[in-house]
Amino acid sequence: MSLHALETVGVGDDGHEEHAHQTVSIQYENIEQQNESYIVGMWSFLVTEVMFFGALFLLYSLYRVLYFNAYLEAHQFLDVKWGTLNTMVLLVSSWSMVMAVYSGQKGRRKAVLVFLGITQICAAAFMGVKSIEYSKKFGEGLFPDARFNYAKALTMHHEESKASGNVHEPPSPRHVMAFKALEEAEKAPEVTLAAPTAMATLAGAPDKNQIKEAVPSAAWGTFEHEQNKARIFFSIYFTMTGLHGVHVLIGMLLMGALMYFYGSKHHCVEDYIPLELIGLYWHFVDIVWIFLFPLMYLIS
Amino acid sequence: MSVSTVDRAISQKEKVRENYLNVAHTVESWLLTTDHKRIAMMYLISISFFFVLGGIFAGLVRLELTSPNGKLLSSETYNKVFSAHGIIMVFLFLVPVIPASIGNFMLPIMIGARDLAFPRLNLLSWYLYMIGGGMILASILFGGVDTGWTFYTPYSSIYANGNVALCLVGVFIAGFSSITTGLNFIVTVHKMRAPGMTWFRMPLFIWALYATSVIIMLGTPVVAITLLLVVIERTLGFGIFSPELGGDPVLFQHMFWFYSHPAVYIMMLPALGVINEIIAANCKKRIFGYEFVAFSSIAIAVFGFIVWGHHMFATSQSMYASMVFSVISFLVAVPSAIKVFNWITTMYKGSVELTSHMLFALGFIGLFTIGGLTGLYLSSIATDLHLTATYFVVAHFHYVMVGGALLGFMSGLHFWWPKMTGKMYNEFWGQLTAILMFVGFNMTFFPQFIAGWLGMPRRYHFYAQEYQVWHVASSLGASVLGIAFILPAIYLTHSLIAGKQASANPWNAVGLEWTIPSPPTTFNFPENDLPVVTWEAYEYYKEQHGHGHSDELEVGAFEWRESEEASV
Repeated sequence: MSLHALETVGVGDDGHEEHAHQTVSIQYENIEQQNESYIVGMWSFLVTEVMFFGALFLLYSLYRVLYFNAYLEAHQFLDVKWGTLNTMVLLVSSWSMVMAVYSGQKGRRKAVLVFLGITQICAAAFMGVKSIEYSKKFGEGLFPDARFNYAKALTMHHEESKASGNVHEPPSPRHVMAFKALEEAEKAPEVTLAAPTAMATLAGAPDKNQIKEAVPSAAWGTFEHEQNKARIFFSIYFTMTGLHGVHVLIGMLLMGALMYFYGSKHHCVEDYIPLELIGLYWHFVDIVWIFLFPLMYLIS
Repeated sequence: MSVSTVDRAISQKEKVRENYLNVAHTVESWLLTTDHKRIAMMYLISISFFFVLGGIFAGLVRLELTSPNGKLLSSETYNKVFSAHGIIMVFLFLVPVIPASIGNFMLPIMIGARDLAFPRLNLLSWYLYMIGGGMILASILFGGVDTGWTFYTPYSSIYANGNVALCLVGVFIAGFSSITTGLNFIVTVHKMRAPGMTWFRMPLFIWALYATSVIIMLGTPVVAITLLLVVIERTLGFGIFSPELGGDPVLFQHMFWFYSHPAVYIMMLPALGVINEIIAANCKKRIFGYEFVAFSSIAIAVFGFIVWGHHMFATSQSMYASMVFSVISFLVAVPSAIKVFNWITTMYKGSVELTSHMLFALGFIGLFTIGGLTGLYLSSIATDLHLTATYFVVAHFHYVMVGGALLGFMSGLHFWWPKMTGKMYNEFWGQLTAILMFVGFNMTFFPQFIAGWLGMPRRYHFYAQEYQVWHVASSLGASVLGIAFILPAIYLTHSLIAGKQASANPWNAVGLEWTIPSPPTTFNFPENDLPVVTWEAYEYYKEQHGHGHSDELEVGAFEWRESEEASV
């Protein structure tokens, strides 16, 4: 065993000679040990990230089993076009990150800057698309806080598809139920809304309570029951994509710092390890999206 | 000329040797330090602060329960007091106590490294702990939290008054402090072991810390996201755990206990590891069945992740799931028993020295055994349904956590105190404290087993007259226990001021930490000269072995890489 130990030391010392220009922190014996520690550390961190998102995927799966129809219906509010675009954008960013790391290993500083720049642009584009999607959801009343307004979203969606002549998608049973509830509201004598049709009013009504007052209690009860399931879908959607978005933003900050260091020829980027670590992180962020996209946008 | 050299030699001898404590004295040198030993000491101080705080809340609870009618506190305040006790003790004391203080200090030294792999991350961990602890403290000061430490939904997410969100964010941040510590330990154990320090030459304390770190890394993120969801639910009104919105509150319990049951082992495993060191050092024997003890730590870590359902026998959990969880919970007893049997076998025919840390360790074994065996009552479904949410459960987990983790910590603290501070404490008071703590602990918590068995529910403010006798008995015991905690605060502090200088190896123990001076220098081992380990752990049977004899070693007689130097 002691022989083995000495061998290790011998190898380490050789390595030390070889990479003498790189800074080795005092706690490490040589640069190999330092680099390996960084890599093991990053992978361990990614394990915690997997558990972090894993808990959310568990939530997603459980409620998907329980409320599959609600998922099926609610997911149509997510725009597959935007989702696909974002997937493409992130795949490109993954490619450019790989190229950046490769260039870093080859010591091509300018190429690293270019590829990191492409990755940054992709990340920014992703966040841009995400913000368009989010603001649309907010406008439709699909943000799942207390003002969650599924009736409004359903109505808007229905009218949009009517206006665009896009009728190949028949209304789902819950769609029908919501409309029934709203129609009953229209017919109900106690409706005191000023607008010509309750449906139009409801579409613009910001306050759920206004609708609640307008609709007979039994029909409303059934509808609210269904609406709550959709609210859970959107709770999970916003939590998961939101946390993913936070990770993208952190990635952008890290890449920004890295670009600054490469730009100013800082000594901390003399070897490619920082780039490699942030690359690993970025690929993890991409992989999370690769799971999120089909699970959220492509339910069937 | 000869006189002057003698003078110089004397003056050099009298000059205080530089160590990690006296190397710098400024406040920045502490707050911005990356030395694992200084961070460990900062952790020790801050954890002790929170322990005192949690202890005060415990005292309030015990005082209140002497009367069945709740004369001292209002019911709401009582809820806040026991919640504060639980939250502080679990998240700010028990989880970090051994890994972040003793572990942080000893892990690099025991495996022959100059520091942890990521010293700055280690410092960040302390700051996260302080920020998280500060937020929890603020939530208590600004009105308190009355959810209990378990934060069950929908009470915590919708109905509870008080600063639940602030408190949860505090727990979330404190969770990241343990994740960073765990990550650091894993990388350090994997990559920083001294030449020749193979996995099976590591002290068992390191195995335990490694297993703990694995649990931390896998469990803590889950509870972090779960508590974050409760915060989101509470502040924004998302409906993931809210039954009103079709959410499943039992799902919260599943996700909470997926962490919080393994968290019990985050608290226990380091203590179990400490006890190995103490027993080996005080019996001057190798731990019997080293490999079994090492793997039992890993087994506990693995089993710990698949038993969380035994906290939910009385919920909507399916009966078949409960049966599986029950069986696996019984299985946890196997690796735990392996440890206890191996310790007893180690002590058998050993020359057992009844030092203070050994007395703590013996107390630990007794209390851990009682705590573990009563755990079997609770893992069998039929008795658990009777005992769910009674004082039996309270007594059980206090036996495991206080009797186990806390006594393990006290034992380790007394064992390594000379190494950490360079001072010897008064052995008599140490022994007295160990005995007093054992007695006081049993007086406090054994009556709770009986009260619980008779049906006293936990967390109740008012209770039936018939239970009063048990509560009074328990409160009496708590005052004895309280004295047993005040004593070390006095004699350990006293040792810092007036204690005898500790030698490098006051207990005549083996292990790398005893080969370096007490207190150690900043980078533990001389520059560019890590020890080469050529011996097994706990090699007490080779008396003539160099590394066991400290007094020579203090001069600098390490086992250096002489052969390597020769080859160069």
